[in-house]
Amino acid sequence: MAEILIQVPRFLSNLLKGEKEIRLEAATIRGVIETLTQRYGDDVREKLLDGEGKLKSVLNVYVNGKNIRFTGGLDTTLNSGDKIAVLPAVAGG
Amino acid sequence: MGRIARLRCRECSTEFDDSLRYVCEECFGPLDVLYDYDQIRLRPSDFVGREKSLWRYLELLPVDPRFIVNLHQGFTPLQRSVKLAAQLGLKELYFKNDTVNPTFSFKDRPASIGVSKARELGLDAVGCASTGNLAAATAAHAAVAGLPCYVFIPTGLELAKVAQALTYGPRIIEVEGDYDDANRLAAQAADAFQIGMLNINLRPFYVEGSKTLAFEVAEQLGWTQPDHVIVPVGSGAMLHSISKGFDEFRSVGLLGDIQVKISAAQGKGCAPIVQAFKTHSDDVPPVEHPDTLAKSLAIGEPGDGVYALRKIRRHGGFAEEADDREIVDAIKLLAATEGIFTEPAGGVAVAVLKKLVEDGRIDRDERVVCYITGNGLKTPEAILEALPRPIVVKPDLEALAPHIRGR
Repeated sequence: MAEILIQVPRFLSNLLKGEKEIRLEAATIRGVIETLTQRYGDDVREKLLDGEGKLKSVLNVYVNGKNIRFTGGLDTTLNSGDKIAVLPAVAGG
Repeated sequence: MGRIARLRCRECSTEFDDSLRYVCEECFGPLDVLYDYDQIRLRPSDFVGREKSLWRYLELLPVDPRFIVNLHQGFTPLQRSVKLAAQLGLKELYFKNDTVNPTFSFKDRPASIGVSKARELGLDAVGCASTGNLAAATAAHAAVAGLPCYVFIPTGLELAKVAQALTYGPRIIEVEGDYDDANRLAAQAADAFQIGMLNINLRPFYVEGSKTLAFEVAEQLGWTQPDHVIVPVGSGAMLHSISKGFDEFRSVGLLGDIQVKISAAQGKGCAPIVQAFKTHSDDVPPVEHPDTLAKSLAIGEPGDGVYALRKIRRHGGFAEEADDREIVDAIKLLAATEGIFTEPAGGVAVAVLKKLVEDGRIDRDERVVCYITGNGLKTPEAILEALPRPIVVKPDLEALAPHIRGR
């Protein structure tokens, strides 16, 4: 299990109860979403994942600046100290 | 007046008031500005005598006129092609020449709306993430508006673009990485420091400026629509906005049913929308390492990619790419036939135009408009290698003579 930091963007602020930074332990991105769901409610999983359990295409998740689409998606493994950022896909360019 | 009715989510149609927001709270989709189209009825005669800038379309722009930052942007020439059209065998070809805008690219259009809206919303700083053209446009508008400006650029941007942007006086942040890294940092900075980032948290308003490229073409063609337009594509925002522009002119009674074919042109090495189109995919997988001479289009994660793809397919347009060599040849071709000096993004459009005509995807009878989005002076390095050197002679007529052909 890795201890990681999530930088919460404004548009997810309501969903994550106003937190700006969240620290938690997880082994993969999937694990992060599960832990957030346990902490902040089922809305988290419902809003972040699509019907097939994949990250919604309107969202991009980055681990230390690298888009998880290039590192195994939700199965991307995490290391202690990793920083996670989430952005809407619409913010691209 | 900007008669905005509301912001509406492009994915789930949830509506919001005119405010500083760019992401749907329900589903995280992008937001579009919508107007009370039923209450806006325009006729060609309404435009006689109006300012020759994009502000002539104020009824369909989302800004209170008291806050307009006016650099006389837009209303650029729609140049009828003679020589290149003949060479390609096209009966009716036009170039929309946006190289002549105040900061020498089409980005003056969205920047004008973005910075004006920032003022209207009471923001005290603006900024953007840029591949170069938006940097200059944002910085110039911010300077005139008297607003602090933070521009985020990737490493390796063309010197002329950086020099130009710096001259207007913004703070330029060169991010150690590519455009997508710069964009991500800018997005985080928007939240952390409450900065109005034009192409991020002001995006729904900002993109409204680009649709004037459709408005002007329709007006300049005598209030009719072209058959086919070629659009250089980076994020897909401009293409999507052009489509919206034609649709809105229909909504307010200025055009009939819209059947404009919209084709996307990208640089090989960063052509995610072209790849998606050619593989019949609905998804646009990002490009991890963009690598194209067309740096202004080198956006590996195009925020409006999926939406641009839908607009391309809607009326039977295409998506095609051009490699670095083709881009350079096209820049030279455009200059040599039409006298327009463009940066690589315009070269991409011309190269793709040529391909589509030569293999019959564009019919010779179609009325075609090709968008030339940025000035060649911004990217001299791009073509220097491919240019002949000046002929060096002693100041002597005899030494000169052999070099003057046919005399």
